[in-house]
Amino acid sequence: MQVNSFFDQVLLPISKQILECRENCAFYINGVSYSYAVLGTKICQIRVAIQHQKIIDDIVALAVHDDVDTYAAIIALWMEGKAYVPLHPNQPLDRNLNILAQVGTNYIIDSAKESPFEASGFQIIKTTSCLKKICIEDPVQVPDDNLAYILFTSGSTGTPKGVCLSRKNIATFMDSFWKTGIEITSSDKCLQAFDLTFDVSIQSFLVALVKGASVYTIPYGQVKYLYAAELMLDQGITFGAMAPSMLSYLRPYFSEMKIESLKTCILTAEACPVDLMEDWFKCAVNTDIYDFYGPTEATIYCTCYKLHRDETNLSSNGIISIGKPLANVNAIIIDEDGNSLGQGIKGELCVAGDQITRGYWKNDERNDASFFIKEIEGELLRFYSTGDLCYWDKSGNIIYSGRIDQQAKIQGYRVELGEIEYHARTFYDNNCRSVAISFNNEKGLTEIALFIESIGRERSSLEAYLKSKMPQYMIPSRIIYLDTFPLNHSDKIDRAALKQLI
Amino acid sequence: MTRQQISDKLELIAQAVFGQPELKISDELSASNVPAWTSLTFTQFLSEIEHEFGFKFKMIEILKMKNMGAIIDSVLNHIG
Repeated sequence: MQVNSFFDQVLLPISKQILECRENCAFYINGVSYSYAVLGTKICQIRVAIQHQKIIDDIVALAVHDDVDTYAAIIALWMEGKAYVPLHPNQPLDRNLNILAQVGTNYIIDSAKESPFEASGFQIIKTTSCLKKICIEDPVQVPDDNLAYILFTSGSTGTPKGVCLSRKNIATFMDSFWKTGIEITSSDKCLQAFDLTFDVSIQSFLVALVKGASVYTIPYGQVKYLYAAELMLDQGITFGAMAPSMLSYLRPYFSEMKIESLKTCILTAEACPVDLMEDWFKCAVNTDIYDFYGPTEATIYCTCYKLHRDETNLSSNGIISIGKPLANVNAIIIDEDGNSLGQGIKGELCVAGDQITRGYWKNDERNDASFFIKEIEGELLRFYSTGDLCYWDKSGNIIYSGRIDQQAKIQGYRVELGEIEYHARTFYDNNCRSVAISFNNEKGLTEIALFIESIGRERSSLEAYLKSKMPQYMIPSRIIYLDTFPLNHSDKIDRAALKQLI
Repeated sequence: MTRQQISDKLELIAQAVFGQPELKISDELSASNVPAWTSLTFTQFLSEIEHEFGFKFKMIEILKMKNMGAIIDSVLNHIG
């Protein structure tokens, strides 16, 4: 199915809102409102700066801060026909340099007064130094096959892997999103609770900006769930996507909260517990709740389930169904031989359609392993293997049953446990074995335990090393040293036995 | 119990929960200057304080906890 272009679905509507909703608040950041007029000016100034640099790279790195310049830079890059790669300033410099080396770009847009990347020889475009000259040119029109962004996610080999998303992927996602029936208007106040290195952030600000609504962000250095609660209670947030873990933190206080303004709430990025949702319904008294599922490779979301207030919702083992494929997504569940499975039989969920990434950045091995062609009703479709174990319910909804590999979700972030193990082994010069295991704590929140089979016990040095290589959310909350690992009957490390030791 | 005595107790709890044995408490300490002060560890920190002092924080109190000074004051209000 042909959907409208990225230009028609993203760039044109944002340009229109900048002209027609000039006084509306576009962003509310750290207690300060920025109007669409201000956003428009920032976008124009950054476009001029990009043009002056005569950047020939199609991909430009962007140091992502919680400020209006960063959001303006994303739109400006898109209007100049370019793609961005977000670099989180709070993540280890080593990791960001690895991403820059993989992408091979020489340019970084940064709104910080002092960029940590300057010392590494990159060309820094400082938004704070942009000329005040205004650019009123129309957005540059480029083919929709061009990239819009590359997001780097945890990689099991120890190296982050880049997922390439095109303008067509985003345009198709936007079309799918509106077809769920969710409506946003210029009077809405939309929560943006995710880091800009995580794709739900793109949904969070994009669906607001194309409608002239306001985006309320959570500043860095805040406890996210508390700040989100404050925004919902004090600022009257009407629409928001959040990870279920954010609500889990708030759950002990639900009885003290009555959220009346919230019209629509999307739960995403993690499995969604049914009992949590029942309690959330009581607190969010006027809210429609949706469970959206999707890997980064399928552009933000690819399935959706709308929960029913005061009714039994479809679930299995206490987890809400991830629902049905979105309008532009084709989903199948297959066995190990690639055969499509029918109702009630567990297999790997695979998705196809124009939301699916063209592949991982310069990673043929991974691309060969993750994508395949399959004929469905006479049409050859290219599928992405999600690694998620699922089955079809008789109602045509999909039930999520866990992972088929060693990937975990920590506070909504995708974490390859193998990456943690890799860095731990590297710290010990590969002279030990390491196993990372995710587990739920007594509050139902996911944490990571790292087991080391080693003669060494340099816990604090190991922690410091891991923090220099990985983002905070990947740092194990527990490190357990063992003289020898338990083995199962196949003489493999018995992960279940290790989990019992947590 | 004095404010300083509460501060001393919270310092020990913070050192354990945030995994920083050298951490020194000050009123200005917050999530913006302690990288390990995350949603998870902050929740653990509050639970440990509640366990230590034998009371439960209210949501309205927690929303005001912008830094360590506010947390100390909140504890002081409960047990003072």
